[in-house]
Amino acid sequence: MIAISRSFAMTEYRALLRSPISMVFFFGLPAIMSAILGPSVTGLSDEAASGRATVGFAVMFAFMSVNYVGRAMFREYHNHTWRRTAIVDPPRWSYLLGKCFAVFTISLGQLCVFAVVAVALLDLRINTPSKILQMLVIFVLHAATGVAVGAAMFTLVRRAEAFFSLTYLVLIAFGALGGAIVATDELPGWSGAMGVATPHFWSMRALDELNSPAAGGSTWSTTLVSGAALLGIAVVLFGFAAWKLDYRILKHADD
Amino acid sequence: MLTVSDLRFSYPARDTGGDPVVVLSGANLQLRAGLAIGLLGPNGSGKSTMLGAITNSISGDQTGTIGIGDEAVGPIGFATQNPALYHHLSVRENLEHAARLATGRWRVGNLVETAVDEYQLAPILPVTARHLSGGQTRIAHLACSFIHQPTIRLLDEPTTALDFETRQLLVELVHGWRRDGKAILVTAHYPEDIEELCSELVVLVDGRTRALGSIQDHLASLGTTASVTTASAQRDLAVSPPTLNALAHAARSAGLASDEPVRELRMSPPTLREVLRRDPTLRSAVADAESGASADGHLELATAIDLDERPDRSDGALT
Repeated sequence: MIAISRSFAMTEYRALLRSPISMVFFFGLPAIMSAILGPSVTGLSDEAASGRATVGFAVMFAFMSVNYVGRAMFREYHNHTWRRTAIVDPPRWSYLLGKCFAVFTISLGQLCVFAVVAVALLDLRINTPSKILQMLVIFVLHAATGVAVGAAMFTLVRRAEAFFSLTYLVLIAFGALGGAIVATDELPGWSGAMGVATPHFWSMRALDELNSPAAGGSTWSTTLVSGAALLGIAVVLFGFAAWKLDYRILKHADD
Repeated sequence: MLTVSDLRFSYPARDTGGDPVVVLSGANLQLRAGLAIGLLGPNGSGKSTMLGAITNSISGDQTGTIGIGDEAVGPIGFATQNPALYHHLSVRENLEHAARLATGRWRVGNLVETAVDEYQLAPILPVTARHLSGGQTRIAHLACSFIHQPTIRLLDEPTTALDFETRQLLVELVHGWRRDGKAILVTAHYPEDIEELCSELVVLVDGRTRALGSIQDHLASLGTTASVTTASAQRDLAVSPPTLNALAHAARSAGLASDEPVRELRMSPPTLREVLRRDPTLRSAVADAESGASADGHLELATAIDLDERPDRSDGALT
């Protein structure tokens, strides 16, 4: 079954790499938003606010992975290849892993690129080996929740048009509620309360802690709590997607 | 090898946007090794649904029995009506992915090379699927669908949009599969396609199948039509078997003078379309094809007019 996962992953890598312009959403948009808005939207005023804003936009736009997982899944309908998969009926987890893996790695790459820029140029204080390792843990889990949200959403929506509309709602709402744009402490009370349900809240909580001037060399406790929350969200959503996925249900990619 | 008994299938209301739609209401089929069955029916008669139900690749309310013999190898191969190829992958990459999916193995070089030879794909292997012609797309689609060498092969309207050369390749492939002992089920709109590809016929009308058996037997029973023109008359004669003696006998019976030289003799072999048109219960199976609703509509319409006017021609009205 690994061969099937690997084959679907290869197919999706080729789709992404042969149409690199489509990745402007992953890399271009957060860069533009960071450059234009900078630290002013964060509500923070310390010297690391610029770095925090850049990482925040990266965390927000990493959830373009929801959209790209949808593209990967609806590609089967656009290309009429879904019936072949339905006949073979491979294990659903192996199919979903293959379909999501390429997007997961692109999303993870995006987070890492913006983190490097923020550390090197914008005074982000995540600059010790321990902090970098913790940040990587959070990035991996954040990217995993993104593709898990996409996979779960796909099982609930039949039309590509509806799916892609929802992805923008998820992108903006999760990013805003989760404190990726404006820090949670600066949000209205109800927004901050709702934000707890988003992966962004847990990711930014850990990243803010790592970026805090008060933090010492190691803040693993916050990272582990946030990581556990992110892992839980990813596992639940991916499990839901694997349970709910039905290859035989006709979906519409072109209207 | 494949047995379908009392298959009933309906699409639930959530899929139709209205009431549930019953498509199959008692379909039966017996597909054996070396046999190519043609499944003929008008648009919307349930041909594609039947293939989808057999392969368990569509969702809906389904009852009945689908049995697959132990001798069947691999998942059922199904060449769907719409070509199933990843547009951004080359033909080789599409073949490799299809082979890996069907076999669950990573190393599929042998299967790919076999398919390249069988389907004559070498010139287009590096071509991206979105840049293939219509005929090339169809053949690459067939190759991907059957790359794992399945013993049961289903083809849903495989002749759609094929040029002459590709159509000939398809005919050769299907005949080769029959010789190799594969069990083949082909759906088509047009009886001519079934006649060319298949050995037996099943008609699907109003959700029910009717097995008509050997196509050759039906054609033989219909006999050949001979159009004989002499100096004084023209007659269309049914000649069976298609021999000179039978022709002479038919001519005498039709009142043609035996001492008049024949100016023109045209022998028309029997067609499956005529077999179907002569049975009132089966006419609806070809009515759709004769309405001219297809891409070849003008051609089909002409054929229909020709057939309709044949009685007048036998009286010499069109000479």
